[in-house]
Amino acid sequence: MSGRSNSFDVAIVGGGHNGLVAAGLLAKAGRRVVLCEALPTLGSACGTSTLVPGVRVPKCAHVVSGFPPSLIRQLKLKKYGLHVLQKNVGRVALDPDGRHIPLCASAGATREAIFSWSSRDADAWSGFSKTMDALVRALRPVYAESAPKLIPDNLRGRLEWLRHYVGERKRGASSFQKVLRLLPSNAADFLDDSFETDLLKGALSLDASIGSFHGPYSPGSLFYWAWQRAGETASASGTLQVAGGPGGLTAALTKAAEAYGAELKTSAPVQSITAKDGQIRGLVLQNGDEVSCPIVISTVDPKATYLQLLGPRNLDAGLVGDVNRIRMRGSSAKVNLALERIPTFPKADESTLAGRLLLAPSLLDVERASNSQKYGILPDHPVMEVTLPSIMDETLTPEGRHVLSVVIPFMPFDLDRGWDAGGDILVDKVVKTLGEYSPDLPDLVMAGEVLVPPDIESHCGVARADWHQGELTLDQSMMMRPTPQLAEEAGSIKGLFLGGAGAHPGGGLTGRPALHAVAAAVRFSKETRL
Amino acid sequence: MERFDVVVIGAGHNSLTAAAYLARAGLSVLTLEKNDYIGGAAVSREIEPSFIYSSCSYALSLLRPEIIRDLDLTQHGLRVMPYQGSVTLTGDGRYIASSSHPDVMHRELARHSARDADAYMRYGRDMRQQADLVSPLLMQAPPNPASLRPKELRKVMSFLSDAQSLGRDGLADAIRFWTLSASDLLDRYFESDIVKAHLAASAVIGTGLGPMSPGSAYVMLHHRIGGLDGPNGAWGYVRGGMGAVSMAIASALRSHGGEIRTSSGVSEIKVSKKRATGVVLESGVEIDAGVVVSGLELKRSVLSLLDWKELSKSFVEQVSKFKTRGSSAKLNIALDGLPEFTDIPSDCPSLDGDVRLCGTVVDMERAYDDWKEKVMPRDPYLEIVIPSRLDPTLAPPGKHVASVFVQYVPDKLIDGSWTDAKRSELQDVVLSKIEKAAPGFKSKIRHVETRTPEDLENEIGLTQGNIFHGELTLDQLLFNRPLPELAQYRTPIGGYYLCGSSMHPGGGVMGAPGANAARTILADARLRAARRISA
Repeated sequence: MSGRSNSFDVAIVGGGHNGLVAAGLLAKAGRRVVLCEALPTLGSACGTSTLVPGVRVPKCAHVVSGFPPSLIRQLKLKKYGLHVLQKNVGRVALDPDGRHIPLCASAGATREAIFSWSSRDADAWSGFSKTMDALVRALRPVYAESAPKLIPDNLRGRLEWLRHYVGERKRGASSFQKVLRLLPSNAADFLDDSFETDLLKGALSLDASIGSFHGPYSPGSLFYWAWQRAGETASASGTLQVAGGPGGLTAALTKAAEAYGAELKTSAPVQSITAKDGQIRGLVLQNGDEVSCPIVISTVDPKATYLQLLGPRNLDAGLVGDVNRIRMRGSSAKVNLALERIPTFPKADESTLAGRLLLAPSLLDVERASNSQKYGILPDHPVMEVTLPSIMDETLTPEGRHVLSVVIPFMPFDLDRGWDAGGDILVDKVVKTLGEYSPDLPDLVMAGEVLVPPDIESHCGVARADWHQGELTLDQSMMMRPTPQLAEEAGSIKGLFLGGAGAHPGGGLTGRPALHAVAAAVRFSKETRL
Repeated sequence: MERFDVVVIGAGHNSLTAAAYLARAGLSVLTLEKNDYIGGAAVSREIEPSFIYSSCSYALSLLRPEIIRDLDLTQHGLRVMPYQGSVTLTGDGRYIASSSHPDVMHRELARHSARDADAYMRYGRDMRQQADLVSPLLMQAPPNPASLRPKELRKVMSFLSDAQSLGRDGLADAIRFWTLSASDLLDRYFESDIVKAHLAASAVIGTGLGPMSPGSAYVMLHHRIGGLDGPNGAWGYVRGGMGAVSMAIASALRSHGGEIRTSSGVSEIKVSKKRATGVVLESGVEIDAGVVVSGLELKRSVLSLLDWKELSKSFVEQVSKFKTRGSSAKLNIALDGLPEFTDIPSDCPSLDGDVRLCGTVVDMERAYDDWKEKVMPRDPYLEIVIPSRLDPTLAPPGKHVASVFVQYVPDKLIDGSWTDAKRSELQDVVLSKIEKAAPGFKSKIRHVETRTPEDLENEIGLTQGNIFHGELTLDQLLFNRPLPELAQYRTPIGGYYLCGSSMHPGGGVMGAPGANAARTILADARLRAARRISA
């Protein structure tokens, strides 16, 4: 580095959407910010890539779930090119014979579709929705704010707990009890108690557990589901589809951050985070460059942050042990296809196909898929979430052509037969399954790619292909995320903050971990007058 | 018409415990049992002459010391013989023979992993700490976090204050013990698959969870909160079989003036103006009572014995959703000699305890996966005890009784009920597995009976064969057990109480639900008496 100052107020490790949000907010607030991303491109899981010339696909994530409109406004992302094509992107339980069930449309439309399967279930829909809403409502305040401390050590902390308690308790004893009973429960029993239709339960249980290590029969899966929904509904726009794919969000975040004065470096992997006497000093990049700064926000996963970048030397043994034991097994795979034209799904019009299509015939199918992950094998019948973003987004493909994006959950990071062989087998299973829903689809495939979990790790920078950077179980959430100690203080290293999915409230394209990290960093800089 | 202060329905150990406490307090108590024998699932049966089977439960640990003391059960014949360890055979030639002696245990574990041998000290200590946290909760009604009444709020605050005194890391640890899978919890301490298998075995007993399911670590904890011989979580045999527990409690009950009638099944509870006034027997005979208590499983207690007109629709719905999925079967075997397991020396003292044929955690998890599919078990978890090794009263000299607990057996198969043919098939699966581990076993069998979850339900009212009267998952524990509105032993019908294992603190031959229910009944009776006096 010649001539340019390498001294900054804040250094950000990782250029995924959280890193970019942090960079933009801090730069806009007048801080001197540098962001270092190891890969040649920014965005991490929030990217759009070119499948074949002229055809672009959402590389990893295919929708933007729960990104707050307030953040869009705050960073002026629309000015920097963000164009929202759809709000509240709906979910559809897809049926091979055409009796699809839209899940997030008007309650009336959903009930009508369910009615063709079961009148009893149609009647049960509103009660089920009410209960789900109650659970989500109980969690949303905790999701949207910083997590209260496990053991509050001051009045303010205790009042925070009291506020959450009162907020929930004033809905009535019965409602309060119901929430306390359901939160540790599992999605499968809740669904079996509510409905009889396999397709409905299958789709909902897939929605409940996608991105998790545990299947819908596992206790804690209802919490996971409600937690994800809390994130999605914490903003009124819910899940968004953005023009240009999620890469469109990354592009806008990039432009905004740069416009505000942040320096964004790509192909700049960080070697280490340096600290002395319990205080952050800066970063050392792999190419030898040094960055000097009193504050580092790390958006890479907590294990990498503490065990690789900081190094166990700087940490006490208890913290090292706890970080080592963070569980990160919720891996997914991705298949992206370029299609000659729009495939035919029986009785599904474009508005149906513009949503998130859930391909899961039954509860047991979803559970079986999660079973095989435990043993490091591929499922016989993968369940999957599919989108056709080109229906609403004309910028992705030439006229008439389409892309199809598939997220396959419950993929073991280490496959027994190895992913070299496994990737091809997976694509075949995926295309075969898609063919069961759309008979002409397999013949329309012009090109395709599969990103198996190790690919998602190396090409998209998502450690262990786990977009939560740590399972969102009850013991790794909220005031215990990523560990009880790190939820409260960044391991007694002053000036270090975790701003990625591994911190509260978890993964998904929400930008919220970054928001919390920025707020904490700003508080810290005020307190230390830096 | 006969009238008693209290009529108790069912003569399982919890009913008998509740009845004994109430009789001891001076009330007139009648206990009614449908079978011609008492004890429910804590019962000894002589089906093959001279051989005493503990036909359902087979070992004791969790019976509360307070109950043993209060009811003077030792005076009434209760003798427990702790066994010093257990054996885990993984089927690939390896074994662990555990011991309650720390040095012996350390040496044994070190055969597999020196690191794990050391970690075991830490694990044992942490488990004890968690068990100590749970113990005070057992012999009292759980605090009700939804209640705004000062008494309940104080209880909740006290509970929170205890939680707070653990400190952040201590509380986090407690949360882990209550929410993690057995497998994930054990991964925090151990590296060896056989050590993990050995310890995870207690997570799968009677559960509708796999060792890799979140919440299964709690089941390990649940099986460690016993205090037979001090705070060790030790297990033991009851002299005379498990029925001796029920007999001792029954003897205590009778010594306080209580009466027990067998072959007297109850068909309904008489209700007038939302209060229980007595019972009607299957024979048609009516008996009046000031208080009615049921030790039956929840759904039977509510849905079978009460007229639904007396209950709200939502209450009936909630009760019917109480989860009682059975997952266990039982074989009782009369043997002409001891089995000889090829993988372990016959003189190993741990063979006095339970012998598990279980494979690794992955094998147990696969058995759980099969259970979810409701297919015939292919490789179930087996736990074998031969109490006659320590208790000579159970079989003629040189002969033995074996109890085989089979885990991950569906209460119904995907293609229908457990027919005789299916039961035979299950029996073959189990006996073949034992034969493989102990060649010659089958030739020593002089009598064998196999009891599927359906059999357990039909005979002793364990709904769906669930041995705990309801699954032990967090959504059905503490203030959620069996439902939030029923967690205090009272029902919507005045004077009708529940005292069985569907109630806090759950199943496992603890007696605590019975004792807690009795305490609640007595407190309510005092309150009503006080009100009557002041009125």
